[in-house]
Amino acid sequence: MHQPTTHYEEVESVVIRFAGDSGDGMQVTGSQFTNTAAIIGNDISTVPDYPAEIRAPQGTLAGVSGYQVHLASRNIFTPGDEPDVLIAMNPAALKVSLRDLAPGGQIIVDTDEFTPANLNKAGYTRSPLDDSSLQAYTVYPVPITTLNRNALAAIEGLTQKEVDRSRNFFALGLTFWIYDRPLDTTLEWIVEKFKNPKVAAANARSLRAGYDYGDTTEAFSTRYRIKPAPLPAGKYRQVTGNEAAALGLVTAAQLAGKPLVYCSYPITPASDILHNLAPLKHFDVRTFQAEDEIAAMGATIGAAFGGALAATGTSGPGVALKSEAINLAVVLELPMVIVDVQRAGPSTGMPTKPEQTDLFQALFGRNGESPLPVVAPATPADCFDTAIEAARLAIRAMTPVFVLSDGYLANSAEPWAIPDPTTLASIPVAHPSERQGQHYLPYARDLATLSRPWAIPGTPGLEHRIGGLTKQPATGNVSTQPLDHEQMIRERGEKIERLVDVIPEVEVFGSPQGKLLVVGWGSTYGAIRQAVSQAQQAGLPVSSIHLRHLNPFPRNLGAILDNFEQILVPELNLGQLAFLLRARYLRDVVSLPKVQGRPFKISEIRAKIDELV
Amino acid sequence: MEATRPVNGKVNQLGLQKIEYDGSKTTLCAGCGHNSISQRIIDAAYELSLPQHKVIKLSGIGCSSKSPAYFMGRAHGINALHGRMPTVATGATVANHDLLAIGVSGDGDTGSIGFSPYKHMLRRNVPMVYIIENNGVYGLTKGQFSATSDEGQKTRYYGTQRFPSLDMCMEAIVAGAGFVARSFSGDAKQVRELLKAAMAYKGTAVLDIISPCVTFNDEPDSNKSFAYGKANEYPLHEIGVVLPFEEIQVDYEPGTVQQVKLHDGPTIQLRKLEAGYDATSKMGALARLDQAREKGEFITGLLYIDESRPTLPELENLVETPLAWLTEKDTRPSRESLDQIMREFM
Repeated sequence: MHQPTTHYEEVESVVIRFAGDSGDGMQVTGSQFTNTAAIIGNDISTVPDYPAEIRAPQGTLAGVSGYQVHLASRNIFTPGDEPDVLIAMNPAALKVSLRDLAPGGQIIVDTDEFTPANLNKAGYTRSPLDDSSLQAYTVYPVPITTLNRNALAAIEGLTQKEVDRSRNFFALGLTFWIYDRPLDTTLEWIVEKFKNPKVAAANARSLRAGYDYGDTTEAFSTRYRIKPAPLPAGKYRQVTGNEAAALGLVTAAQLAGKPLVYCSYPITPASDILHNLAPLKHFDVRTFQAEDEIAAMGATIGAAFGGALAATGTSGPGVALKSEAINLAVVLELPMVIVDVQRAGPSTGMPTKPEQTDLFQALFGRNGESPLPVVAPATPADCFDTAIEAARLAIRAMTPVFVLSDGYLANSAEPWAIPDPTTLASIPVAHPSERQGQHYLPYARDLATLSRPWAIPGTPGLEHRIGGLTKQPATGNVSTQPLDHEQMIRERGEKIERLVDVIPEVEVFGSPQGKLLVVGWGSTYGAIRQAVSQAQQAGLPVSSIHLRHLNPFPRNLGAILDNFEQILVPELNLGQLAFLLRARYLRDVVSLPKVQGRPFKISEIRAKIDELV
Repeated sequence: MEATRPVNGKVNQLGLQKIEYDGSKTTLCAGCGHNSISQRIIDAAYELSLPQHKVIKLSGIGCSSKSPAYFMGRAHGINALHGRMPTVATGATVANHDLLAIGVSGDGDTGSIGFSPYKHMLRRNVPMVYIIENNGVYGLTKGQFSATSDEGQKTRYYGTQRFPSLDMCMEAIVAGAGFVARSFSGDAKQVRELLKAAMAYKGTAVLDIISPCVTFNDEPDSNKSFAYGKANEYPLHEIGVVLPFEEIQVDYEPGTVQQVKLHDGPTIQLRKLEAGYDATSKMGALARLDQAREKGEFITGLLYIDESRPTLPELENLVETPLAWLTEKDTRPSRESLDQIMREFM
């Protein structure tokens, strides 16, 4: 009898990257692996890496599409610095991914794809499987294409192309075997996804064949197990930043008792927010695809004037086009949410790659004195809470509010405990219904918040006219009086400053005082948190804070900075928050900038911490 | 040394082989209509013996706007902003009207965000070839409707297009354009000949080329799919461009061929397939386009031609030497003319 030689090894976490050609279905493969991990109860964090080209020529370096998943039996915060395991479906995928692979990592390759033509397309003069270039890794050569064709030989009526298109499921089945995962979730998904029963049967069989291959072959001596992570009980789903932002906007509208009107123009990497909102008409959501960025902003302003919760989403170049209209929204004093899914700039830059370089643009990219609140989500799931927070601030202060997401948050995914709607605080909205006095005063300010009333056009007695010219206080009538101009500017500024009354104080992770404080904002949260946590475990006197509110800053920020000898600010820009902290608090800070279109690695922040303390 | 060139390689009047008009390898989807248009631009430039150093390729943003990288790799190029390419072309051709400007745009880049620059380029008659690679969909942002997707069309996320489409050819004629053509990327010969005619035309030459998106708008019911174009293209005429050094063939029945001689030398020959279609009639072209829209017909060909309107450099009274090459010596008035001006002030 055959004696299984495999043994099981318990691991705490693993980072796996599936990489292949854009047409190889790597995003599906990765997300299926992730779904199963989520159902098992691992903590997960994922990031796709796909080319800017929709479908670049097959087999080329430009066409490589990857999906990285980090799964663990403990809390994790990033998709991992380096993959431990690489599944490479062709030579180009191997070449592109190899530079990231952890030393000693494992590589599973489809040897059938290492043909002279494919090697040539990837720029290899000879096969890396035949020389010593991969000797630092453990390579598992598997003829996936052939094995998959053999497995599907019995299914009649499939073209060779259809057969080969399911080879990603063979690779997935094998990976499931190595990590001792059940196939059920993916099998159910296949039945639901593929309407053609033959194609469904082929994919299911490929999945099983991959699994069985792991069982039968003796190539793999070790299988790995990862226990569920101690996540709080609740109902979870996987969510990307763009999905969470869309759900956050809908939820905010419901909490405010308003319809949501979302107006935007297609732009990478923000378009998915529109895609996610378009099917939600039954939640009182209206979406509008405008003819350009400016029109989208105009429609957003119109929707806010009309009385809806208005929102738009775009990326840096779109914000630049919208800025004249955003300024109109600032002086009209109408509430709306502007989601900027930042991408690498300037100009067209790298549309699919993240950066945090729009902080200055959000704060200062308009003519005149034009302050508005800026908030930033820290994780994909946090895009939900941040969108709600933005709407809350917008309505309270009657102002446009910027949400600074980025391309990394937009497309990364993590488990999200679906919140119980009854636990979410409602967003108070007060529309005046009748006039006090002889004339309605559209700019009569609330004494506490300094915000103006939000009268809905169509309400009898509250007829009012607003515009971009300087206004007389209270009446809003056009004015060129020097002191009217200054008063309105100062009131609008003060109105934004007074939001600190409702902005939560920032919490310190670690000791409230010490040698070094790491200050971050936005998508760098995971890498910073993990690096600081490691440093703390190593006994270093390091703490961190993560800012959701970038304008105005939380009330206690200055005092926290004063409790530390040094301040380190890692950012995916050349030091924009660092600049603001120096200017605002007269504290010197050490800036750790990065502008490569890629997120920070934990190790990069850790190295800087070690250098400073 | 001639040894680097194959002895029997076919060359054009500049002694260049066609391969020398190639660009870099395309990164668009396999089967994309834009790739065949790039190839036709190479054909036309080769046949017209264009010197590449006198060509500027311009584009905006979108899949179409990536394609200038895939033809004439030795020409100059500027990849501008979304929808703003006509503005950059306006400046470039005023500063240097000696250049042949070839703009490549798409239906999103032209029909939506760049609609106003498009219309104003046309009314100014900026000297350039303006190609719209029209697939009725935003490809690079993954499949949203564009302004040229027809009422009733379906896409992946948005259900059915509920608004009427904009017809880029009608818009061009209304704005005053004197060279307006529609074609289909799958009709290689027609695209090539239209491109040659457009490159020889002195003002703005608009080519609205239906160019199927194989990834986002290739469903069986799409009227911008490859299969639809193949089955339904209805050419109004057969077009041929006769270069000055070639002989004009005259073996057609009288009245079946319309000939238009361009000021640059070449002659456009239109062998009529639809009797009575007159490409020099503005109202005729507009009426035929409207009829085609009503009936859902996919008409192609040189819809309208008129070379009488002056171009922007002509209206600006620019001298023959492009501004870019004028020296201080050329532009400074002579002592005599300065004296004359002074006398007028006295």
